[in-house]
Amino acid sequence: MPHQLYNQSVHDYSNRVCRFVDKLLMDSVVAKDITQEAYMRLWEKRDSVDFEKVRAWLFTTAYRLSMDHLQRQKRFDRAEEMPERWTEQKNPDLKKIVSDSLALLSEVQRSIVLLKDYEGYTYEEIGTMLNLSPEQVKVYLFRARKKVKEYIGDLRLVF
Amino acid sequence: MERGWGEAFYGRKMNISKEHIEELIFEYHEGNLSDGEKSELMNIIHQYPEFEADFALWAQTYAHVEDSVPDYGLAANLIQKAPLAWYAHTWVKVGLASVLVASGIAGYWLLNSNKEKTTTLATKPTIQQVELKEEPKELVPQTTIPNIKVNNISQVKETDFVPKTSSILEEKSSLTQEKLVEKVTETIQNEEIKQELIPEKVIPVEVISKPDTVQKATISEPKKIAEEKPQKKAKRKLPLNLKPAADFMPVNPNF
Repeated sequence: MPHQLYNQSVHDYSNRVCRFVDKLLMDSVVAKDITQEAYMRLWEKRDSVDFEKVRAWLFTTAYRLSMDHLQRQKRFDRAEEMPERWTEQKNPDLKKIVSDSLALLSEVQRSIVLLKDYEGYTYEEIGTMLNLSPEQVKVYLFRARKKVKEYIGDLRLVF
Repeated sequence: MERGWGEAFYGRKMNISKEHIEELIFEYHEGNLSDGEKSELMNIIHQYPEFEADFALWAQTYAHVEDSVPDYGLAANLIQKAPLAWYAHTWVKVGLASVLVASGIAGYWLLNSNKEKTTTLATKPTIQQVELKEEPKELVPQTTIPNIKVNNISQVKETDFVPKTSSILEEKSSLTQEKLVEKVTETIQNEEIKQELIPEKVIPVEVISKPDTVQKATISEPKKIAEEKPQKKAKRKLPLNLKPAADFMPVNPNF
């Protein structure tokens, strides 16, 4: 892949990849670092990466880097633990609630939700990225949405 | 034939019923239901209004999706410049410059060394010059052969002469020459003496036993003959017909 196509991939996907990592890790600073790391690896392996598959390659690399980051930080060992900003918000709008509720999901569930909702990948494509079968992706997604739905229902009861 | 949600979700065909209402609502929002399945689901929800709240909550789970992508400002940092050609790298330039400087220094040094060589060669005598500058040795002809015809004599070369001190052959040749002369003179003298000693007339000489009495007539004649004849021998020139010795090695190939 020549450097022109690499730069084109930067223009096309850098913000999307960063948003994916940001939503996945709930940390925009780390998301930027991981996105830069993903693009550095892409630059190093630009000769072996096909431009038509560069988008999936970027998201896969960003996902793996995010998982490595989470394993190092161990920030979300307990999935039930809620982020502080979520509990401190008194009148959050629905978009913010749902977006923050993603923190309740496991990394795999959250990745699948983000890749499905933000990037529009199919079950097969997500399964390829995360080494899962399409049926597994669908089950993960169902459980994730059900968890978010229950949480939204609980908040409705609070407010 | 269109694939039903149950077959797609569970791997087997299932009936649309309220027991699987959550899965049906999920499939509805995921867009996996056919139009017929959608209408069946709507009928169930209308029949059981308690599922309307669930249906709304499931719809809200997609509320986080944003249409616009936020700008994280990474593009400026991630853009890569076109890779430089091999000769455009700094280390290549530095290397080429150092090679040029080194070659210039080497060339200058070589030129200077060549100049020094030429000057020293000009001032210093060569080996031939040194040999020529050495004290001139007395050149002596290797052989002295008197009876050589002028026509047979070729031009004398320097190689025909051997230094006096360096060759042993010269001594041998000189020695043989002297010996030859001596031998030749001895033989000639002997032959002449023999010829003269054999007179045609033998003069009887009486031996006088008494030394006091001298007989003049008998003694005076042989004495005169003996005294006069050697004088004639000395005056006579000896014809030298010399031949070179057997071990004589002429240097000039014309000999």
